[in-house]
Amino acid sequence: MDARSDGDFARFVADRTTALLRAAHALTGNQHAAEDLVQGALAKAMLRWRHIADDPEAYVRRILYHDHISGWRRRRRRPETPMAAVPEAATADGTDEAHLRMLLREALLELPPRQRAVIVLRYLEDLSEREVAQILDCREGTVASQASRALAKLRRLVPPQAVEAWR
Amino acid sequence: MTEDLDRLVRDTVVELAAEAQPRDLLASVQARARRIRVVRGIGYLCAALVAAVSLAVPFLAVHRDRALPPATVDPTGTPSPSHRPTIVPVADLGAPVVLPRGWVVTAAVQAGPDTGDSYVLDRATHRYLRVGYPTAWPAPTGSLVAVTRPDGTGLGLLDLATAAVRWVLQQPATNPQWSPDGNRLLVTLSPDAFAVVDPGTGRVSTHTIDRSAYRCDDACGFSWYPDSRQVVLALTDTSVPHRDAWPDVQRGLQLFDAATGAPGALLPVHGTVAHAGDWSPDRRTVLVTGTAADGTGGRHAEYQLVDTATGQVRGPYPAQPASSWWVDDQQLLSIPARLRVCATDRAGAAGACATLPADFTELAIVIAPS
Repeated sequence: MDARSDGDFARFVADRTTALLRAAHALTGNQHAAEDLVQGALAKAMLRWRHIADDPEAYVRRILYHDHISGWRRRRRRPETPMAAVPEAATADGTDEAHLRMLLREALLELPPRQRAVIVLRYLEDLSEREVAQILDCREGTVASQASRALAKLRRLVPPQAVEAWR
Repeated sequence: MTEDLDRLVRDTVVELAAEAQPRDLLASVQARARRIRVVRGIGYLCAALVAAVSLAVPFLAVHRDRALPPATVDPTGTPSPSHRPTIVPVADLGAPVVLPRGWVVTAAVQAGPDTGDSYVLDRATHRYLRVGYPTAWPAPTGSLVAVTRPDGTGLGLLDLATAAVRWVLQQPATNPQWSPDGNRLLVTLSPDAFAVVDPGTGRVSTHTIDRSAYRCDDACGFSWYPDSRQVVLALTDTSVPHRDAWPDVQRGLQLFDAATGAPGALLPVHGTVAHAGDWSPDRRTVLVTGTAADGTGGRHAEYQLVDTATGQVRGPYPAQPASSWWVDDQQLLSIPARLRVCATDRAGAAGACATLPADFTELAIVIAPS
C-alpha cells in the first residue's frame, strides 16, 4: 500500500474496530476470540485494500461472519468448555433475572455458528432477512429457517418457567 | 412466551456485544497481514511440511485426559498489593435484608462475567459493605469472603475483620461454594477438575476425575453434597444421542470424596444441581434442571423436584435451582419474580414474600439463615 492508502486503512481501523469488536464479541462470547476474529478480517482487508476501498465495511463484515462460520467447522463438534468459561449461570446462587440472562447467554453460545450469525445480524445489527442473506451468501428462506431453528432451540434450552418468572 | 423470548434474545445479544473491550488493533492487524503475505509466498513448502507433520503427529499428540497442572498456591498468604480491596459501607443498606423464615441476604454479586462491585453483609456490624470484586461469597459464619479477581484468574479470601485478602489460587477458578458447615471452599477448575481450599491454612487440594468414566458436557460445575464431605457433578448420558436443538440428558449425580477425589455413589437423578441448598434437609428430594418431553418428540429443559433414591420426578418447580434454597423438608425460599423472594411449598405456591432493595437489581444474591 502507498502512504495514502496506509493512512486510509489506519483511519478505517481506528473508526470501525470498536463496532466490529462488538459484533465479534456477540458471535464468540469472549474478548480474545473476538479480537482474533476482527484481526483476521482486517488483515485480509488490508491485503485487498485497493480493491475494496470503496466499501471496506461491507467486505470486512462479510469476512468476519464467514470466518466465524468456517472457523467453527474446523473445530470439533463439541469443544471442551475452557476453564475460564465453566458455566457459572447454572451453578451460582442468584436472582432469576440475572440467571435467566446467563442461561440465554449460554444457550446462544451453544447455537451452531451459522444460526448464531443469523441471530447477531438480525438482533444486534437489525438487518433484514435480505441483507442477512447477502452477507452470508445464502437464500432469504435459509435465513428465515436458521432464525426459526435458533429460536426453537433457545426455547427448549431455557425452561419456560424461567421466562414466565421474568415477565 | 414468543414475544418475551424475542425481547430477551435481543437484550442478551446486545449485552454480549457491549462486553467487548475497545482495543487498538492496528499494529497487530498489520503484523498479521504481513504473516499472511509470507505464508502465501512460501506456499510451495506446504506439501513438504504436511508430509513431515504427518510423520511427526503420532509423537506430538498430547493425551487428552492429561492431569491439570497443580494448583498454584501463594505459600505466604500475604495480601497482594495490586489487588487491595476497596471496602465501602453502603449508607442506604444499613441493616440486613430480612427474608421469610428469618433468613437474610448475605451477599449480592455480579452474575455474569461483568466487572463490578459486590455487596457483602458484615455480620459483625450488621451492615452491607461494597467490595471491589465481581464475585464475593461470604462463608456461612465468620468474617471470611471468597473473592475472585475481575479477570477470573485467582481466588482469594477476604477477611472483613482486617480488610486483607489472601490469594490462595492463581489460576482460573469458578463457582466458589462454601461447604454447608463453612469449613472448606470448593471451586471448579474445569469440567473434570475441582479444588478444595482449607481457609485456615490456605492449603489447596486439587482433584482431577477420570473423564472417560465420569463425563460431563453441560453445566459442569461441582457443588457440595449436604454432608460437607462429598461433592457432586452431573454426568451426561452419552447413550442418548446429542442433538444441538435439545438439552442433554443427565445420567445421574455422581458423588466424589472432597478430600481424595475418589468416586462414590451415583444417584439416579437426571438433572443438574446448582448448590448444596437445592437438597432438602432430609436429602430425599433435590431441585434440579432436568428435561421433559416437549410433545413433538423432542425435549426441553425444566426445573424439577426429584426423589433422590428412585430418580422419580415429583413435579416441576417454578423457580431456578440456582436461586432456590430449602428451608425445611416442605418449604423453599425462591425468587419467582424479579426482586421478590418468597417462601414456597413443593408445588411452588408462594406464601410470605420479601422485596429486595433496588441496589440488588441484576445482581445474584446469596442467602443464609440469620
